This record gives sequence, C-alpha cells and structure tokens, in this order.
Amino acid sequence: MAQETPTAEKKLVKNRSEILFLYDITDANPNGDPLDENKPRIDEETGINIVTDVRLKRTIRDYLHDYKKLDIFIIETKDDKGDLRTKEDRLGDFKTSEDLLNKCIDIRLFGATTAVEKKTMALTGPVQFKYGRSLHKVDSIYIKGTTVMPSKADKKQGTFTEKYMLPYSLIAFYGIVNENAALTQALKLTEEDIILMLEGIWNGTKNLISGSKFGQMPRLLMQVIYKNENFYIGELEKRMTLVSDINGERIRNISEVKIDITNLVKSLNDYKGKIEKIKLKVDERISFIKDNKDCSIKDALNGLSIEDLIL
Amino acid sequence: MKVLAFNIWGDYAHFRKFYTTSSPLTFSFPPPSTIAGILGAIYGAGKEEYLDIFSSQRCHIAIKIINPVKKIRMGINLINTKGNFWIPYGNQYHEPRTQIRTEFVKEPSYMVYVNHQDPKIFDTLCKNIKEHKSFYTVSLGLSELLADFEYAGIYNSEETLSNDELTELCTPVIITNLISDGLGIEEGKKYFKEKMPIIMNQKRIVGKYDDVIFEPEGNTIKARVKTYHKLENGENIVFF
Repeated sequence: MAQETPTAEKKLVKNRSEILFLYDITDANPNGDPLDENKPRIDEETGINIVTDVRLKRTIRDYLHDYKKLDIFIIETKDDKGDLRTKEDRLGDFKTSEDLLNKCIDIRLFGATTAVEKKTMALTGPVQFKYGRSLHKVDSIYIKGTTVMPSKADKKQGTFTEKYMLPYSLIAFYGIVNENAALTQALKLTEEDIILMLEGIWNGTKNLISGSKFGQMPRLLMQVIYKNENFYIGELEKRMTLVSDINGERIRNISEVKIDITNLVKSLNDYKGKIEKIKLKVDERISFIKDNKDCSIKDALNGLSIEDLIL
Repeated sequence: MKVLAFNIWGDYAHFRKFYTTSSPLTFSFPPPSTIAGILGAIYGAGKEEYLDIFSSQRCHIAIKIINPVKKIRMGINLINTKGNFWIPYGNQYHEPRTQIRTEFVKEPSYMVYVNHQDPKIFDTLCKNIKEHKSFYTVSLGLSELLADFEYAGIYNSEETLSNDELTELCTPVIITNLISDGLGIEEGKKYFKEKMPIIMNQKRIVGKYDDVIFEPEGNTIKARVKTYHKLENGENIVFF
C-alpha cells in the first residue's frame, strides 16, 4: 500500500539536478556479466570495475517495492502460489496508461521504452544514470565451494560451486534529473519521487542482503540542484579522485583511502550563483581531502547552501 | 557562413549499425541523424521534431574524431518485449530475459561542426553550448551513455570547390563527395569505410545510405573532394 503523504509535498520537479553517489562493496560481486560466467564487469584495459545503470535502477525499484510498498512496473510479480504472474494478471492491475503513470514511480523516474499490450508508450526517463565506475583498479578472485545438498534424488553427494567476487571496490555513480523530459512527456515527476529515489539509492544499496551483494555500503550521496534554466555542471564524478598509499588492487577497506574533492569543490564554487542548493548525506567512515589537507565535505562546501538528506 | 564547433565526449558510446539486430555493433562515430538528436537535446527539440529541425536541408553537420576509436563488447541483460509489451515470465518459446553482447566505443570524443540556416535556431544552439545548458539530457547513442560537451568556437567558413588538388581534411568523407581516384593514401594512416544512413526523415525512414571514409585514430585524410569548407582556424571540413 502506498504511503500517505501530505499534498503540500506533491510538487512537480522544476529544476535540473545532478546526482553523485559513492558506495563500496567488500567480498562480493557488485554486478555480474551474464555473458562472462557472471564475473564482475572489469574494463580489461584499465582494471576499473563497471556497474551498469540498470543494476542501480534495480536496487532502487526493489527497495521502493519491498520496503516502501510502492507500485513498480518493471518487477516480477508472483501470485499466491508463488508462480510468476502472467501478463494479463499484471495488466489487470492498471486500467489505463495514465493509471500506470500515476501508480508506478519507476516509470515516472526512469521511463519505459515499451509497455504492456494496447498501452504502448515510449517514454524517456527524466532520470538517467551513467554506468558506475570504481575509483581505483580492482582485484578479482575466484572462489570454489561445495553444496551440501545433491541436485538429484539418486545422487550421493553435493556438487562444486564457483563464483567470482571483488575483495573491494569503491564505485561512483553519476546521474542527471532532467525536468524538461518530465514536463514535455507529461510525466508527473514530483520532488517526493526524487526523495524516494534517493532513499532507494542509499538504503536499497545497504539493504541488498543477498549472497552476491551483501557487503555494500553507501558512502556519499549528493544532489546538486540548479536554479538557472537548463544549466548543469556535468561529469561531477570525474572531479573526484581516490588517494591511497596502497596500490588500487590491494585496497580492502574504506579506511585505507581518501577522496580528493579539490576539483569538485572548485567547480561547485565556480558556479555557486547557479546552484540553488546541495542535498547531502555522508557516511562517517569516508574521509575527504582538499588541497592536500584532510577536511570534512561539509566544511569544504562552506558558503554553498547545504541541506542534510534525511533518508 | 558561420560554423559552430563543440567537443562532445563520454565514457562509452553506442551508435547501432542498422544491419545488426541481435548482436549490436556500433559505428565509430555518430551518423548525421544521431548528431541531429544530440543537437535537438541541447536546443530543446523533442523526438518528434528534431529530424525535421536539424534535417540536411536546413542544417549542415560535420564531425571530427578526437580520441582514437576503441571498441569493446559488454554483456547486457535485456527483457523480452516481443509484441511491444513486456513479458516477465518464460514459456516454451522464449525466456523472460536474454543476454546480448553489445559493442561500444570506449572513451569516445568528437568535435561536432554545425551550421543552421535559421539564425534563431543557430543562436540558441550557440548560446546553450557556450553556457553549458541543455534542454534534454545529452547522451551518445543510448540514454545511459551520458555525454558532456564544451564550446570550442564559432568560425567563419568558406565553401571551396575542388581544384583537383589533394586537400587535408579533418572530418570523415562521404564517398559520393570524392572525385574518382580522389584519396591520397599516406603511410602510417589507417583508412576505414562504414556504410551509414546520411539522410533520415522524421518517420525514421532513411533517404540515403552512403559509404563514409575516415581515419580511426583521428588523423587527417588527404582527398580530392567536390566541395569542402575552409574554416578560419585553418581546418578543412566536409559536411555530411
């Protein structure tokens, strides 16, 4: 059941904003490549770990569906017997395309390139994320295990399992919220939807408790909201670098790295007049440096209008 | 005429070749119709109108490869949407999901040259690019392949007709613009040819395909062409 919210909060998104999200993963697989033995995606040329945009969107959708009990369109729904529901059953949940849009937060956020029969639509999502990339080279390890239960009745023993995982990866995601894409396509994307999405990014990442994702921790979430029409800085994720005494592949913990935000802070200050405010949530275990000195990100952004994200 | 030049780049790009469906390959650089979409995003033209507004009759487009073209393949998990709707369960005919190895251009970076007949549209485009404003989100082929852009300059250009001499060109050349035997092959350069849509109307119907010759490392090509444009910064470009 959807949560009741005061109508005053149902404000349509009117401003451009950029999203920057840092999270890390320990001894797990942030995003397997289904065509490569489900190995973590690694850019062979640079050793950088890659996570697709759809993995992050899945995290957000699952969180909003499972924890916030919101309607999500791109989700597998099951009937009482635990079987996946058919298209007709799922169709019956929504009467018209408008109904679909009003109910499903994920269509308002991420669009839908195709939809159900007779309700076909091609909507570009106002929110778009790039592929996430680790800020350092990663190591990949191969783990062999055994299962205790045999797969068939007449077998005497279990079998071997195998999986690939990353001992550590600190990943940066970057995204844009485009108010025009929402307005011109009549997607009623609200400020509340964005807050819910940010909550999904932060809490969903932390709450993904599965064999391959347990060990994910959100570290930094920032939404830079602009006041000037159509202006945005761009590529915020490229304005941070990871600093560590340890070789990238050997990093195993957030305490072993510092994030240099000198360029990020400089860009934000350069365009201070065009920024309405910055919403920010920071995990206490991440350290930042600016101009070669330790700093807190809040102090570094002193002078800009900062608002704590309470998720 | 005035030509606006701006740089556009990203982490990855995918400009799907029209003859590849289930194993999508990418062009090395965006075809004119894709560039029209990028210009439309910056200017504020929607999906239904950008191919009209930035059609070849009204708008000249050229592109220069900046970063050497590198292509990689990644596995992408797709959902079944046969019949234009999503089917989240499998049956005897198909699986709910399918994994497709997709080709991407890695670290793409290009210089786009553009002139528009309508001074109003041209000025808005120049202003938006100068001020780093974009009406819609700019991407390189797929919505998640977000791109960034930067203004490079506005140059006067002069249309130059062939004088039968080899001209050093910094953009890919359409084969029909070449005078026969017009390519001056140089040592140490690579010459690639890709067939791409050159003219596409608003209904996404291609009016003309043509072979385009380019140097994948971003070097210049020496060629005898029917027409080219000489920019005041010294570069010679050929519009699509």
